[in-house]
Amino acid sequence: MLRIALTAAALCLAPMILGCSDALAAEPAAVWRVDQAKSTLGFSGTQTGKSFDGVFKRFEAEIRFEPANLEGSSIDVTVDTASAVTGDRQRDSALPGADWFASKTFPEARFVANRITKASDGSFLAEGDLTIRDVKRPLALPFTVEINGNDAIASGEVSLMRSDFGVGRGEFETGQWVGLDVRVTISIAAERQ
Amino acid sequence: MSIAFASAQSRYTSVAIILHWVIAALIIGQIAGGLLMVNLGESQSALKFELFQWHKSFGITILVLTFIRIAWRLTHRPPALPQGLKSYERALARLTHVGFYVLLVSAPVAGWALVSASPFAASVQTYLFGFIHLPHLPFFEGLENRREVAGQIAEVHKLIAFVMIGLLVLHIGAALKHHFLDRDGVLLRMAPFLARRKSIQS
Repeated sequence: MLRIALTAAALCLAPMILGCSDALAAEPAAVWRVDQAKSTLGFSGTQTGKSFDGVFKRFEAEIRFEPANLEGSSIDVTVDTASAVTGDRQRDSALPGADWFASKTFPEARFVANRITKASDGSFLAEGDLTIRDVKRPLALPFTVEINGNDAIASGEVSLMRSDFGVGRGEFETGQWVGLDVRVTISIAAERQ
Repeated sequence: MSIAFASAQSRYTSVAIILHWVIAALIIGQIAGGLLMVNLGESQSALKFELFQWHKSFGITILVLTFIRIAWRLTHRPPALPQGLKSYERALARLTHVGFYVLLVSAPVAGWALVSASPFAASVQTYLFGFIHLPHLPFFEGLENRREVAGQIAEVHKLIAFVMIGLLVLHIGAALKHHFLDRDGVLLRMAPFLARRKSIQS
């Protein structure tokens, strides 16, 4: 461990643009493996005034998290944009299309948060960037975590405007048919590695 | 079957009668629903969207039934026109009937083209009655100026609908004239309930 730290320190004698400050700032926190079967990445919105719920069936998350080492904690989620399902054929056939996620051009959406802080009520806030359709916007995701031994369940939700990311083109740029507000919900079950 | 024998029939076949009335009911529903849905405002987007889905579903139903009907018509000669019609009356009756077939095919096809060319096409696939996927017509795939083209097709679709309304007025008016003024039984050839009641009375 000492050697690693020394190596990092040595590298950081090299120009600072290498970005070593992070490496020195904190030991990376423990890695958690997401249990896909027990985890959901959901979203809900409205179509012509009626609300609907959906999930992304495929996503991958690299999670480093320790309440005692938030500086070394980070979240990196990659979502397969073509895997969105809402239980409606018409809607589901539209979502990967050019007007919406344009999954052929932008197969992935990504949320990267390197700053995680704890709030006074015991919940956490993951601050980072969400990228959809190659549009990157800052996003702060509040979440709670329940840790039992090596198992943990994290839950959270955040609202965003689909129009901020250019999701919904042409006739769907306005909220007339499909609401601009989208609520994203996460429920992640993970095991400490 | 000989033409003379077929022509001597006094009534349309049951299949022809059923097709006639089912399509008639659907057409009237389509005209009413179509007029309603295009006049709904933004505050009624949900109903508007639903009505469009039903309109497409019933429109394609009419198209399918019309093909069946044309096939039936070509293989089953209808009862002859009543004696004593003036030649222009015969021509007008034929023209009205042929006109209906042309409209019954062209209205759904124009509607289908409209859906396929629409700016909504990429995001709104058609599922007839919520189940059967109806692909867009391939001709409009790479279309750029969708609003413009869809607008023009919409005008054609609308024109067909209004010609249909005109023809319906003519057709119903003629049927009622034959029944109440001429009293020649023409309407009864297509009206199963009236025909049955009459046969019970006689």
